[in-house]
This record gives sequence, C-alpha cells and structure tokens, in this order.
Amino acid sequence: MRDFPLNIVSPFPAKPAANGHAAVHIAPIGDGFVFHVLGNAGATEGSLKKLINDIAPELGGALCSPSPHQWFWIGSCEVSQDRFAEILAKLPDGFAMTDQTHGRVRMAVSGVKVRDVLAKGTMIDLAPDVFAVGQSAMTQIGQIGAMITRTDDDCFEIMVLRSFAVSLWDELHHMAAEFK
Amino acid sequence: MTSFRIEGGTLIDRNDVRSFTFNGTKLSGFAGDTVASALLANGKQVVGRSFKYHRPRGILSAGAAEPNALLTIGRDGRRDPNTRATIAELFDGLEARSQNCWPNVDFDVGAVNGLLGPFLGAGFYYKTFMWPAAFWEKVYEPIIRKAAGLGRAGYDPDPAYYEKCWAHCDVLVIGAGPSGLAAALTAGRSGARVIIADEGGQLGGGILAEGGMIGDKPADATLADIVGELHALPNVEIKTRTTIFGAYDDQVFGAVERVQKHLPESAINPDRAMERLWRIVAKHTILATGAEERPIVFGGNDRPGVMMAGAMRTYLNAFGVAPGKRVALFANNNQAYQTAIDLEARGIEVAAIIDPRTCPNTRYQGKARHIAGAMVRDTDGRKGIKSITVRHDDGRDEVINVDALAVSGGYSPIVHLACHRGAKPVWSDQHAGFMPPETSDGMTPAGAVAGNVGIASCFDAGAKAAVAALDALGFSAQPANLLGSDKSDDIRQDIVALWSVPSSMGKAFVDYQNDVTAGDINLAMREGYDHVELAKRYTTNGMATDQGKTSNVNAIGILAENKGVSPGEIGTTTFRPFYTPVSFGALVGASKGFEFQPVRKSPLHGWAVRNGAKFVETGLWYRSSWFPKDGETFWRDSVDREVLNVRSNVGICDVSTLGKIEIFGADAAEFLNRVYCNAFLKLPVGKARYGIMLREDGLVYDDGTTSCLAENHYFMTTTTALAAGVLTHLEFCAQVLWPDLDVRMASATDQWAQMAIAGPKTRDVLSQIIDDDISNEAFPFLAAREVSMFGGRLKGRLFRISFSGELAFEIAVPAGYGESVADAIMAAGKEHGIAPYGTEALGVMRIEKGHVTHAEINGTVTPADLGMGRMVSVKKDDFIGQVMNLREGLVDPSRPALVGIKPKSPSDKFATGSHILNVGDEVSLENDQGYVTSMCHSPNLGHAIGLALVKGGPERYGEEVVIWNGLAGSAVAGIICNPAFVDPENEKLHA
Repeated sequence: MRDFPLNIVSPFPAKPAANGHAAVHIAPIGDGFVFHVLGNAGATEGSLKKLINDIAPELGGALCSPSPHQWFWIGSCEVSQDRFAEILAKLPDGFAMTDQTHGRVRMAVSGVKVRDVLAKGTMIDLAPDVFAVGQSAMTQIGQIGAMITRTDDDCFEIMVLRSFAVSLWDELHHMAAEFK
Repeated sequence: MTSFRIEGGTLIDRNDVRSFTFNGTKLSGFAGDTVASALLANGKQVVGRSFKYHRPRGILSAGAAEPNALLTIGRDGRRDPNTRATIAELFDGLEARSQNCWPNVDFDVGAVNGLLGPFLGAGFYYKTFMWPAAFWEKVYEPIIRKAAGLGRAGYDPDPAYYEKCWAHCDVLVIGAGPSGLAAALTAGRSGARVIIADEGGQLGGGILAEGGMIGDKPADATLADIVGELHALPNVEIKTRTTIFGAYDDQVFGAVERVQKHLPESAINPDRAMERLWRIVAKHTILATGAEERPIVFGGNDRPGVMMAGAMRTYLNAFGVAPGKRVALFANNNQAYQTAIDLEARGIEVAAIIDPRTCPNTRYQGKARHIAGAMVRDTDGRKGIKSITVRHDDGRDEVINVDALAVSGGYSPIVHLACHRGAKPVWSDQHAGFMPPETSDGMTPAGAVAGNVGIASCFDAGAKAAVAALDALGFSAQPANLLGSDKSDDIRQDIVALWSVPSSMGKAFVDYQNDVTAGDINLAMREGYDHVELAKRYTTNGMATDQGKTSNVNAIGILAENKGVSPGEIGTTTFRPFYTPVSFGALVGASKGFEFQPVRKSPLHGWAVRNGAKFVETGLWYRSSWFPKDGETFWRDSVDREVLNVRSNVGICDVSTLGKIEIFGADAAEFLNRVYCNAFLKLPVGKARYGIMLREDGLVYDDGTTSCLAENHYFMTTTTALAAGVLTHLEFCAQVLWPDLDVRMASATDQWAQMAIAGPKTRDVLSQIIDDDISNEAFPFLAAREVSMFGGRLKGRLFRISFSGELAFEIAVPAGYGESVADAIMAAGKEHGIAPYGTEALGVMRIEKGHVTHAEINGTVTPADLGMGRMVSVKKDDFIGQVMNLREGLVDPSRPALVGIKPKSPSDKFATGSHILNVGDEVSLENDQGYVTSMCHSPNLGHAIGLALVKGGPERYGEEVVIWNGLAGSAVAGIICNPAFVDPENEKLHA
C-alpha cells in the first residue's frame, strides 16, 4: 500500500483578514465532533444525557435539538472512526446515531456587535434575556439554514451544512463589514 | 412676493451651509433643511408639473403626504425618481430636478394639455381610444405609456448596498410625535424592550413645529429632555428615518430605514447599507402616527403658494421660512388658527382668516380680519398666488390680495397600519374623519390618530396607552408626566366638515398628484361609478405614489355629499402596504449579484478547481462539468476524450451532490418496502439495490440506490435535484402515514465526499488505496459495505454501482478527506491513464448505457414506460403509488415507452425535444409518436444517439421514423433501437 498523504481540508476559505473586525469576530471551529442522534418517540434529552455519561463520558460536549427527539451532540475533542463505531455499538434500540462531523461545520461569531450582525440574517430574537447561554435554534441566516447556539455573553456558534459554509462565511463578513 | 428665509428655525444650523442644485441652478440651504424648505427659502415656488394638465405646482405639505413636490434626486446609479422634497434631507452637493416637464419646469410645453381639459375628464381614455381597434396596440398604448408616470428610473446599476434585518420588542411605538414620545418614555422607564420609529430625521413629530411653550418650558427644551432620556435608556431602540410601511400577521411590521440617504456621496460608507428593510416583531404596538391635514377643494387650490396650514407653520418655526409677506388662512377648524398666530408672531401679515363656520374660533386674538361663514372660491396668479376670491355668506365676492394661502380642511387620522390586516376604519362625525378600527389586535392608537388634539392631550394619551399595554404584558408602569405643572392645553377642534366649495371657479382639485378634480368625481358618479372603489379606479383618485393621503377623504366626502349619506356609508378604499413608496433596492436587500443566491460547493470543489474543471450551476450546486486539457478549445473535445478514457482506461467523477439519507430503525426495511415500488424487505446486509419511488398517483417520483449497511441501518441515495424533496417525502411518510413504524432518518449529503471511479482499470487504481479485497468475487456488482483504506488510516463506504455502464465503484469518505482521497486516486491511477470526468461525460455515458434521469423521469412516466415495469412488485401488500399505478390509462399498452433513437445517417444530428413521426405522416398532434428526451454525441459510436419515449416502445426496435424538430425546421430519418447502446448484456457491470 502506497503511503498517500491524508489531510482534512477545511471548507472555509483561508482568509487571514477574516478576524479583522473590531466589533465582530468570525472564526471557523476546526476541531471537535458533531453526532446526529435520532431518538424514538420516548427518547428524552435527559435519557440521552444519561446514556452519554454511561457510554462515552470522556467526550463531554453539549446537546442541541434541531427537532423533536433529535439532537446534535457537539463536542470539542477529536473522535476517531473506531471510537465512533464503539459508541454506536453501545447505543440501545431507542437511539440511532450518525456522524456529521464533516457534514455540519461550525464557526464562532462574537463581539459587541454580534447581535446586530446576526439580526441581518436570522429572525430569532437573540437578546441576552431571551436567548440564554446554551440555548440553540434552527433558523435561516439569509437564505441559508443554520443552527445558532449562544455560547457566552456576546458569543454564538453557528453550525451549517458544509456545502453552504463558504456562502455563509462570505455573507457574515459582508454583514459585519460596517463594523470594521 | 415669494417665500423667503427669516430668523429662527429650530431644526436648521445656520453655521452649516449646504450647496445644492435645482434644475441646474446652484442654491444653498442649511444643515437640517429638507429639500422643500431649502427650495422655499430660495423662493422657488414652482417645483414640479402636474401629471395630466402639466399645471405648475408648488410645495403643499411638509411631510410624507406630499403630492406635488416630487423630484428626481441624484444621478447615474444613485438617481432616485419621485422623491418627496418634503422628506428628503438636504446635503452638500445634492442634485434635484423637476419631473414631468419639458423643456423646463417654468416653461412646460405640456401645459397645453390644460386647454384640452374639457376632453381629458375622468375615464377619457376609456371613451376616446375605443376605435379603430387596431390603433390600440400600435398607436394609443405606446403614446399613453410614454406619457404615463412622473419620474423615470435610471439604467445604471445602483452601487449601494442594501440589507434586511429583524428586530424584536415588547412595545413598538410608531411615530415619535408627542403621543409616541410619551408612550416610548413610559414603556422605556418600565424596563420593557421598546422600539420607537419615526420617518423623520429627528424625533418630535408635531413638537418640531411648535414655536412656543410646552407646559412650563420652551418646546425645544421639553423635546430635548424627552429625547435625551430615551437615548439614555438601554432598553429603548430609536429608529429615525424609518418608515413603518406595513402591518402583517402575528404583529410583524415592515419598515424601511433610510440609513445613508441623507448623506453626500463623499460621506457614504460603502460597507454600510444605503437602506435597510426591517421586519419588526412586537408584542404590542402603540400607533402614534398622527393625523394628516386635509386640503379643501376649491377653485385654483393647486396654485403655488397654496399650502397646508400645518405645513406653513412647520416651515415657519422649524426651518425659518416664511411663505410670503401677506398671507390668508382658509380653515374650518380651530387648530389651524395657530398658524395665523405664529405668522403674526414672526411679523408676517395675515390678511384674512376665512372660516366657513358661522361660529368661528373665539380664542384667536390676533390682528387678522376674521371672515366667518365664508369660503375661498378661486385664486389668481400665474406661477404663484396673487389673490383669492372669497364668497361671503351673503353671496358677495371679495378679492383679497395675498402671496400665500394656508388651508386646513381638518385632519385625517393616519389609520393605514391599523387597517392593513383587513380591519376597516370607523367614521366619526365629531372628528370629521375616519378613526382607527375598534378591534385592537395588539395595537393601541394614541394621540392625533385617535382624535386627540393638542400637545398635552397627546402626551397624556400616549402615556396612558402605554401603561395599559404594559400592564397586559406584565410590566408595572406609571404614565410619564411630560408637562410639568402646567397642563393647559384646551384646544377644541369644533370642526365643521367642508370637502368642496360649492361655488368654486375653475378647476378645483381633489387629488393633486393625479389631477383629479371635483368635476371628475361628480362625472364618475353620474356615469355610475359611485362606489368608492369604482370611483377611485375610474378617476385615478388616490392612486400613485401618495396613495391619496391628501385626497381620499375629500373624495369620499364629495361622494357622500352627492349621495346624501354619511361618509361612513361610503367607506374607504382598501388599505394595503406600502404606506409610502419603498425602493426595490430595500426589498431586494443583499440578494443581488454575487449574493443573489447561496452557492453549494462539493467537498471536492477545490480538487476540481485544481484539475481545471469548468463548473455548471445545478440548482445551488456548482458541479464539475468537464475538465479541459491544453489544446481543447471546444467543450465537446474534452467530453469526448473523457468518455473514451473511461471506456478504455479509468476516470474519476465527483458525485458528492447526490442526495444521501441515513435510515435507521427496527422497521426501516418495511418502511423502504413501502416507499419503493420494488421489493426491499429482504435486502441483505452488504448489498445495494436500485429502487424506484412512485408518487401517490402512480407515476415515478425519483430513483436511486439504497444499501443495507447493517441490520436496521440503510443508506439511500437520491438524485441531486430531489435530495431535499425525497427526505421531506420520507419524513411525511414516517410521521403522518405510518407513525407506528420504528424508523428515523437524517440527511447525510454533506457528510460524505463521494466519487465514482469507472472504467476497465478501476480495480487497478482502487486496490492501491483500499485495503479490502475488491475482486469481483469478494465485492460483486451491487455489493456495498464499509472498507478500510490507506492501511487502516481511514474507513470509507464502497458501493459497486455504475451509472456509466462500466465496471465502476463509488467510494464515500468523510467530506474533509475528500480532496486527499481524490488526489490519492489520481496519483494511483496516473500509470493507468486516469482522468477526471464531469457531468457532461457522465451524461453521455448514461445515455450510451440507456440509464434514465429526470429528463425521462419527468412526472409523466410509469416504471413500465421506462422499461422497468417488472420491477413493480405484485407481491407486496402496500406501497406508495400501488393502486394508482394500475389505473387504466397508466397500463395502456399504447403509452409511449423508452427506446433508443439514432439517425439513419451517422452524419445527421437531432435535438432533445424533437418529435417522432411515422415515415410519410404529416406533422400533426394526431400523428405524434413521441419525443426525444435526451441526446448526445456518442464518441464511442461516432454519431448522435438519444433516448425517446415512443408509442409502442421496444416493439418498434429497428423501425425507421422521422425525427422532426419544429423549432429548427429540420427532419431527419431515424431508427428506433435498444436504449442500451453500449454493453446491452451488462458484461462490464459484472466484470
């Protein structure tokens, strides 16, 4: 077997100036995992959390629900294909899971003007006392479907289908341009 | 005498001079001026020409309702026609031009239309242009279209950036006059999230025109205090230059913010929106839009120098502009008298106050002569008013020399936003106007829109409305007291409705913008168009950019008077968004040019770029279409080479855009068995199967392969076009049709980079990167399973499927690895002559093989039509489309069925869409035998080939037909044949 190089290519453009906005900071999140968990009608977030704690406590991460009985299990550590297969094998009948680490990519958007920027795209009310830290919602940013999660005071994480990543990246920069 | 600048003006900064041009003449104004105030200050009385009669027109109002002063502002891409001079803020370098006049606004040839007045009444063109009929399209319509409209849009692209935004609040206050400010302050102090929006550049509304005291403080000081406190409240968002233009369901309001419209070119930030379209979601709305002062319909009421009384007061107090030196006031209400008071306070002579009421306002203590029970019946002057003719109550006429006339016919509450969701306004005799609808629907009118008169009354109403709204929202609030200790404000309206002066001489205009006169309304009534909606359309009253803001109620009043009923019985026309014109730029937002629509990029996009791909837009996807090499100048050169290379060596194609769906659950097999028309219940682990989905009507919906990767785990592929549609369909089936089945699914399209490797040397290439045995014995046709790659460094999914008809595999790897894997395959295949191929070559090869796509699956075909009738299960209990697929019409043996088609002479060509005729038949619908669904040049066969749906289908193999192309006017001899032009025995697939 020849020793071919094997690299992961980011969908985001290499744009060093991308972080140059004073009031808004946009950065790709390259590391971590995204697992799409599909529960049956009786599945709850509580039961899933317990399950994760039982079968993969080292992964940690957070759960964001895009729809009833479905969750994105998102974490910051790397998970090998073999480890994913091990976790999959331990899932009880009520749950199924598919790896979306490469299919749904994430970016962090933060800064004092972050809500002004995101208001140009999403109809979700992101006010601090309405959209709490840890809360997430599926929405449209402009014409692109995405999941927004609030990660800190003025920090949000946006998860988007990989194929739309460049478009959304460009669009966010365009929206943020006035805050340079 | 004309208008001129005087001392004072609360809104202007005399230290900041602004130069601008009007019709090429250089003029100057001050910061804070509107274009209208600056023109008046420079003595420009005639600013435009009327639509039909080209009559000289001056500035009538000081706000959004302006029907006359519509100018074209800017040039090239920044040219804005029909801009209301009364709204446009003056900036340095502004260029304004009059419209609808030639050669200039002072001497307009079109004014000759005035002489044709008797022939240009309401509905004249309905009557005039009836005959000869042939003239309509060739003569009348072109002339009318040329004459129609006022300003003209430019052809240059607008360089500005526009955007759309969302905003949310507990309380939306629409209008920042006294009631709006009081409401916003009350709500802001309570801690509620408040948005207050006003179309003006500054908050204040009617307060800005106040020259005196409010309570115990000067008006401007009171306003400064209120605005200062609002700015200091972090929970209050202030939106100036923002017009709320529409009220929609669920308390969503549309608004347009003119972010940089007031700035000179040099100050425009190109990264900032020129205009911003807002969608504002409110829990409750305070409608503080105020009331529009109405004109009175009398002879010569459109002469420059005739102005609304409130507007005259605004120009006087806010902009320091006097309308003339000798002014008269014609008013039927008490409130308008304040204009006379302010004029006199500024040293302007008020020659007379003409009041049709017999019991006039007793509060007025000024010097002006007070003529009760009288009306203005005519004006005189060429391009500006010189005198008015007053008809006294005893029938005597008196001419009074004036150079300006202030008019007030009462006030029409601005109820538009309260009516956009379908509610109708309610007539009030007391207010002589249509009041907001009684149903609240989350909206509370306050202030002048609700009939309040005077600053104190509006403050009080706004604050109380806010308290009630906040209470319902769960906020504890106290009404803001903005008057201090002095609460004196006892203006009583005491209005007596007057729509039209009966003894008017000459043209008496109801609608200034559309040149609709009282005579036109009366004519419409006589001709049977007496319903308010019919009268509008027959006369054009209330149409165009101002939508009748100054004319509608007068027209309704005239209709009511003539019919002897209340205006309430006549009712209003329908209120619809937009309240005032909104630019197309704002409506489009950022979705233009590069951002017209998002782009979807395959995980192999970068690899394709590096290999020189030409891309084609397929929906939102960019797909590699072909990969030209040096010396290839025509797309077919590349495509032919790519096809031949796959057939003889090996090629690699990006198929990542195909839809991919992961399906899980104990009942997943049963589920698939029901959504596909062919059997899936017993698909073994490690195998793929081609499946056809039917719609409920029995026709084919989509096709693709589904693989069983593990027990209760399937992987479905769909066509690129229907990826989202199929997933939606599956979700519908799972959630609605069969909720009892244990099945769950997720889109995985973006997770996998998938590539087809096809050609006789495929194994030689793949065996260098795949660790598992991929021999025909170990991995036969339609095998599908996870494989180890690169010495165990990566796992991928390998499928032994082929769209090209060659020995082929599709390999799927996590998307991020896609480019590396494709590079590795290219490197491994170098010695075997590998070359990338695009969708064009893929299309050629699938036609050569006789495989169908949505060119054939076009919503009209059954599986049997495609030669796959035997795939439709006759054993299954149920599947989607089962019953309808057996309809008589769908099993008719004469239905067109899939065949191959080729020219009799290899040098002949034909096109997709060509129709098939029997030899010797005339071209007719009855003789149509079918049509070509796909065609290409086959580099393997050296001639054109195609697929077609033809009556009789496979029974006609070998038959000569005519391939007729009506568009190209060609007909070539063709032969019907087996659609599998290449490898009809499928030997390559199983190699």
